[in-house]
Amino acid sequence: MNTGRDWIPMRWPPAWREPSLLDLLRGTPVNCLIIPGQVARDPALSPLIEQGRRAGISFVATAPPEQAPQPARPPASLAAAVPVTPRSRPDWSSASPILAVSEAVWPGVAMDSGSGVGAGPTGVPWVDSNGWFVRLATVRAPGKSIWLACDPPEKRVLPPEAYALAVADAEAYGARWIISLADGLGLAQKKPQALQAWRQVTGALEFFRAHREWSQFRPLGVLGVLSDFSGPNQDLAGEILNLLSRRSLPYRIFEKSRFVQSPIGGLKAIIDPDQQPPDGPLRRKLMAFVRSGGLLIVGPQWKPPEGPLGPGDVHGRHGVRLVGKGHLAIAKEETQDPYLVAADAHLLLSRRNDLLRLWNAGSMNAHYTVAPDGKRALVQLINYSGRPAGHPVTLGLTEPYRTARFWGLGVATPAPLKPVAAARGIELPLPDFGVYAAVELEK
Amino acid sequence: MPNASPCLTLTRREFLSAAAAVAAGAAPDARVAVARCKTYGPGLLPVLERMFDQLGGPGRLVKGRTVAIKLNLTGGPNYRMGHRPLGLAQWVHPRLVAAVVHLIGKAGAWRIRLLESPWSTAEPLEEYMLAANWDPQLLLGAAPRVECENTNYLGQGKKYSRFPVPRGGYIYPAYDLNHSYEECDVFVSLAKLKDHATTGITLSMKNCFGITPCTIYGDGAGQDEPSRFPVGGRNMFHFGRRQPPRSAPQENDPGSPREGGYRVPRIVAELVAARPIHLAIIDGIESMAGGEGPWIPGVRPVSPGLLVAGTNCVSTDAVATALMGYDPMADRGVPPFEDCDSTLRLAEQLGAGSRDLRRIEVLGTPIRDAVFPFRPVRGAVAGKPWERAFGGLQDLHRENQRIERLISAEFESIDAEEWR
Repeated sequence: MNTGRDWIPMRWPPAWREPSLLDLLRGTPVNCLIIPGQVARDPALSPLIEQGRRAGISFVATAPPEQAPQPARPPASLAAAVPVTPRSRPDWSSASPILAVSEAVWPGVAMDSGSGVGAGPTGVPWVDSNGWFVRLATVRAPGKSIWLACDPPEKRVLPPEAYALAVADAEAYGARWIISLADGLGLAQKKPQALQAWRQVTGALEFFRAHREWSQFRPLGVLGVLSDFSGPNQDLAGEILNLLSRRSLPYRIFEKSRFVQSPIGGLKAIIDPDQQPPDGPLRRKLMAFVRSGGLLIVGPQWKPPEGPLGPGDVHGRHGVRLVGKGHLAIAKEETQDPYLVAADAHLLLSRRNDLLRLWNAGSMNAHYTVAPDGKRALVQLINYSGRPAGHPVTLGLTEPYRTARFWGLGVATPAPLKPVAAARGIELPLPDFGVYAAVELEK
Repeated sequence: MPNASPCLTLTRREFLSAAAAVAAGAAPDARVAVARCKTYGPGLLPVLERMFDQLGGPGRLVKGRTVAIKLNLTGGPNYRMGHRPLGLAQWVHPRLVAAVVHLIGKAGAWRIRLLESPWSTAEPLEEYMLAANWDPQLLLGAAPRVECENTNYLGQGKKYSRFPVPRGGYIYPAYDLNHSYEECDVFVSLAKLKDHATTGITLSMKNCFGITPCTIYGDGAGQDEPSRFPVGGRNMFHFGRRQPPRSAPQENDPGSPREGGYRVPRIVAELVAARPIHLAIIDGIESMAGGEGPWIPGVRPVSPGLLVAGTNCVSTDAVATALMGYDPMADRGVPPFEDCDSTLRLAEQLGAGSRDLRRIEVLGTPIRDAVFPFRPVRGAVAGKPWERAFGGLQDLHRENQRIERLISAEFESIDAEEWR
């Protein structure tokens, strides 16, 4: 079976049976068309599939989740059948090399019940993003290609940039969005608005294809999030990841069953929000981390408390104990509020340890990664408002990189940025950008 | 008078006659030091020291005492006007804070406490500063025994301190504040020289709007008791759509106007009358014009290159108002108070000090040599004198009203939890 790593998938509307519609794909990176499993065997599709195959396009059928992990054999004319499971119940261990999830969120600034944007004049808006899920998926299903299925919201007129955002929200984290334009947009009829959206999609895809080496970069972070990310811990741990992203607090994800073997160099704190305290080698590794100077943040089930009491946290929600050179922060009460857990983790760790700061980026998430050689780094900014901020964004970094280059979607040549020395590290004044920007850094 | 603004109604003759009156022996109500200072570099400390000396030296005020300094760190730490660090726009500059701390420490203060009620959070002030890319150690190390407290909630105190307003107050008869405002011998307001969308100007008095805890006066305050932690801003003060928790003093007249331009100036005047300021310092070296923060449309950077300090907050703000090119004797309808009452007048009426430049002795650089108009002076336009001076004023006026309506509507539609 094709591993699908190079596939760039698009949901092909079942009604598009005319082979000439494949002309839309000519000159674009789109090379994989997704056909619902129930229509994949329809003989009326054969001319389309045949012409597409001659043009190098792969056709993939989606399989309902009940067929996972062993989806039925696809028709011979199709390259594969990919099981699609809901994002809330992903099948991490399916046999398929592709982890495709439905129920991915349509990225953007969250809209409330109709009164407008869910935030205030100086508050930070709520955003819908798949970034945290993709990062979790790369840890829980290493080596798989990750596909996100989410259709444009109905009854909303989206600006063309919204489609570029859907691409960026997946690609920046190493996933693929299964391209899906609103059915009523009129791409088949080549209506102007549909063509604008289509150009946004293909332009964004070309950008990420040109920078595919970035997907090999690994996340940076001084905070580790440790969980089994399943059962009663799944929702809380997942939402913590989401909210850490909103705090511009870079993190690394550790799945409990693999933690003992995982390198944890560079971490200053680990948060374990799971209901069941670890034991055995896992606990020993955590306590060794603390004794060597780390901060471990755990739930109230962690007993017996170890070490003398140290200074408490400002909100009094944790008892902080001194253990060796480090600290063990034990929550005083059970909480299911991921906001509090994320905020407390940031405070207990202290902003002194922030790797990255952003100004005027309330509607943005940052993804901070480092190249395998360790000399180059990348900060990707995904702007969920889809339009330039009211004031331009400034990026602050504690690492004093010597050079920085700015990329935006559709930009062929990066703009050099001049790092400005700041009280802490450097600051990079960024040009205006809409949906997405990337800053390449070099020591 | 090349820098004089047409908005300032005092003529040169009036200036001279005021100076002559003071020189002739009529005791001034207050002394205010004004100095030019172009940057926050090494020249800042000697300039500030000279200003303090002009005011009689800080030693007599602070020696052996606990000094609380209310900083102006308005809005969130992640907002910038353009790329400008916050200290060059809406916040006081950290080097000025450090210089003030250093001089007060050098003058023998027993303890120096830096206070602010930062936006919608109970996190330590040091963390808030870090989010702005400040190094708190610059401030904490500027003198012995320096500490910070977030006063937006109960903080390190056991209970809130009650501050009655002299003469019963306009809006509230008293305020419940963080203990830090009671447990100090000397209170310093360290403010920024800025326009303000609601009150026209924000100087040392308006800075004290931020001494009020949002656990009591904020959007997420409890109904019976203060909330444990602050949520949101102080729209209760702006629009009066709800009362503080029952544990706190309630409004004198819930039927009074529910308009920010009426309420906020009165509340500010009450606060400085209830919690007097011993030393007012205004950072006008680098600032912004057109509003108090980057969330106000149309703001722009300005570099007045000025420092102002005085021991009376009303008089100090009056001088600063004049330095901004406005008339400190102006009232509602006249810049900068097009849509609001004058905080200067209201504070004066509460006995907090004089706004009359003829009764204020200005030390150091004379006002006429230092005026920095905060609104662009345009060509002659028919109409009222201030309209002639500021052709775009009505636009600004309408924009301010629009912003206030927007904020009001926004808050109405938002549940406090969503402010996370």
